[in-house]
Amino acid sequence: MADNRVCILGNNPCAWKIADALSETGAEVILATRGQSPHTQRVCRVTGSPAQEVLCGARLASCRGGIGHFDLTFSRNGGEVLRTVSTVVIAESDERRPNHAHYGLTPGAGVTPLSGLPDDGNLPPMTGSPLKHVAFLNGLVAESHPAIAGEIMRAALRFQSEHKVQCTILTRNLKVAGDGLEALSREARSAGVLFFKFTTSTPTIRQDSEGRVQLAFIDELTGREFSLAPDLVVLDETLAPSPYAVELGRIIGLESDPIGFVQGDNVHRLTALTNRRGVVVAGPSRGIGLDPAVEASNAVLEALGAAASTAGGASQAAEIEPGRCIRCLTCFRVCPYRAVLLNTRPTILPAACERCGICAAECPREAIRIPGQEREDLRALITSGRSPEPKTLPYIVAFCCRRSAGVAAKAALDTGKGWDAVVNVIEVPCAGSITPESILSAFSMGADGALVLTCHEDNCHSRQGNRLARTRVDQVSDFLIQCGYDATRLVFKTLAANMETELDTILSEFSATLRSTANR
Amino acid sequence: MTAAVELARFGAEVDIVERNRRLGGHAAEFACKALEACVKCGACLIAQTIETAVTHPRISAYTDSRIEAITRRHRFTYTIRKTSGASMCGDADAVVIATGFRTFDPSNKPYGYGRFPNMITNLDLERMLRANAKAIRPSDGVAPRRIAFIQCVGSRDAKLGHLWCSQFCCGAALRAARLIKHRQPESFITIFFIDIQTFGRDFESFYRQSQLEFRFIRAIPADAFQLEDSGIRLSFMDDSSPQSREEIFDLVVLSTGMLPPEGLAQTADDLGLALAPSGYAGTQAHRGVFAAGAVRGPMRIEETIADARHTACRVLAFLGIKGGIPETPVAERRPLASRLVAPGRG
Repeated sequence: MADNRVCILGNNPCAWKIADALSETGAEVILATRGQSPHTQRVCRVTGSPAQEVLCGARLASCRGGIGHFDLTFSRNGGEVLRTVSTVVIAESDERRPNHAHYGLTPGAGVTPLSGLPDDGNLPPMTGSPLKHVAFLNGLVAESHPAIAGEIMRAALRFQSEHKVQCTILTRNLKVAGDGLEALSREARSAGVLFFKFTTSTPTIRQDSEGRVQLAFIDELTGREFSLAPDLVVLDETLAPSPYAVELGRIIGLESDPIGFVQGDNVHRLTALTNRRGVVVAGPSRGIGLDPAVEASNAVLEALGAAASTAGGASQAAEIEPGRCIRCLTCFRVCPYRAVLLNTRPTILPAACERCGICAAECPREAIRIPGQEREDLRALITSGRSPEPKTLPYIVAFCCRRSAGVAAKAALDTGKGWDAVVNVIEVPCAGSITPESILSAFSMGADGALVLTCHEDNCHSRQGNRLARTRVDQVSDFLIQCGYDATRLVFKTLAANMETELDTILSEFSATLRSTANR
Repeated sequence: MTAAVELARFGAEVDIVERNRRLGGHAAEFACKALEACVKCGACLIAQTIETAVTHPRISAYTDSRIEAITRRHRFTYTIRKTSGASMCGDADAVVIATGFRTFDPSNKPYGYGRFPNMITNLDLERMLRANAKAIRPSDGVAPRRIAFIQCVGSRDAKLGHLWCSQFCCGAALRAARLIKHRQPESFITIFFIDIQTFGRDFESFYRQSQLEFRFIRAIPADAFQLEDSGIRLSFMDDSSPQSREEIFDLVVLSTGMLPPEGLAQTADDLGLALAPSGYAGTQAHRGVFAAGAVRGPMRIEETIADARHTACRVLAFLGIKGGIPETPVAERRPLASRLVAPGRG
């Protein structure tokens, strides 16, 4: 066990804050930075604390193990460095990509990307004529972001009010959904910064052989024609995860979002979680323009939470029976949490297991057991909900994902409303644990109808549990039809935790269907 | 509430005092706007947080309650007064103001809100979708065909001194519009906007799809008139012509913005907390008084969760709780499969 030793990957304010806060809780901290030297101020701070180690110029090459015991291999100075930690925090910086290509412009004297402006708010040095007019292009091709729009407005305001340079901002949707940005846009306007907004048209952008840019457009508001020849054009930039952050995600086996950040676009990962227990993600590795202090706090809480889950010991984790396992590695492939370790045979790391039951349901050899969630447990739950004979009402078994439909079911039951049916809501940790056999056993044990209610696509805590459940319901339906059984008795629906109204409708309609088929 | 759950996890004893009958604030009233797939608004997470909060042994939740008097000597002492009249005393080392936001009341805008039955707010729409699972015309319960959303009602409004974007309404409106279009394909939806704000990680594709499904008009209507058949005529000036245009809608949704909650100035004054110029709590903390969530300024659900955890961290530091190892969440100690039975009525 690596006790409470945390490796933080990153070299920016967010990563540093996490390192300091975790050290203060008594954790041993390793800050692994890809660059040769971390920030100079940082060196003093870090070496001051005995609980911290800084690994400069270290690039993660491999990651084995899981929560409580990650074996990390770094390549460094042509050699290898090994570290064993209990938790990994990814807080790698993002990357800014200048949007030259969006506007058909080439870098040159009259064109600079936003990050090319001096940090101190001074005017950029110009060759030749003094700077009189600066134009900013913001989100004219791809949508901008409040983080970028904010920088553009701050720069324009400063140039305009302090340096008396006429600034013009050409923008599509002006992104002001950030702290103080609407007030900033008003301030910039009253200082004399001109805003032109484009909705249906796009300005024509031309660059001459000397690099100077001409902007021609018709103002949509007034219908007037404009032709601008600014001394400098400042381009917006796209914020994206760095290639190294993407590589980290691949090495560690993490989900990614549509932009490429190493956190799945899934509300169950909010705020700093990944699909792997013990791997925490923060700040610029998780999204655009996030506050480093807020992100650091969230990462610290999750890192401490990860330590707690190993300390408690998970007794209900899945177990593979060695005698039945044929090493087909299905469990390894389907586990959304990377809890299956490949040793001489696959084994499950208990602390990494979220007990979703997907591996047990998918295992072709039925070699995986999850205590508390076995065949007999489910059968007992099915029989216990049945009302005594003679039956007057249809009996419905509703398999519900605990995180979504189960919550909605509780709210619907609390209303005290009935559905002219006996409804047995069986909460399962994930719909991905429901096997064709469990559905069939509902029917064989007296259910008139079975419902499989999962979370919506992209909302599954176990990533694909809902998709697997849908596939299995389809298989069982086909089977029922082949057997001449009425397949309308089996229904699959997706629901969210706050959809008690929809659940009520589903139950009413299903109950009505079952009652009408019973009377036929 | 998220702050309370985190603090309790790390060993703090927490009292939650909630003015309303239930916990969760506005977000607990929001409807799920998933089509086949989740749209990642985060509203569905609230139910579980409420459950954790009410079942946590170290959290006492007082609903239908207000803080009547709060004083500090070395610690804070206060009286919790229930709406029913009962009262009890409490004491604490730190106070977190997490009173969320108030929505702008559009009655004084020239839209006839409160007089025209089919003129509703975004929160009315959330409740409608939650209760009926579809959009209806309040006047007769019939499904509307022509629906308009008017954005930035009470936000980005210099005349009112509201120099902020409320941040959640573009996402909420477009997601609701897509849900309505999906469930009621015969509806024709128009979005009146100033600027569409970025929300969600798949914003580019979401927005592109929205542009195919709805009509976007960069204008905020100036007037609304009630017609005899309970339709609403909106007049607006867009860039297509110098004259004002008029159009008739069956249902109009006003995306009302956020305001600092009622009584915040008084509460802040009592506790010695300085507010930001906008009237929100901003980023300040003062000797054991903290603010968390939308009371600090407009935020989306995911941001309020992150902010609440950040505040919890600051409170733990203030209390001298050095982090340490928290306990395993209660939810993980429940049996794996469990059941609830509705016995039917027969």
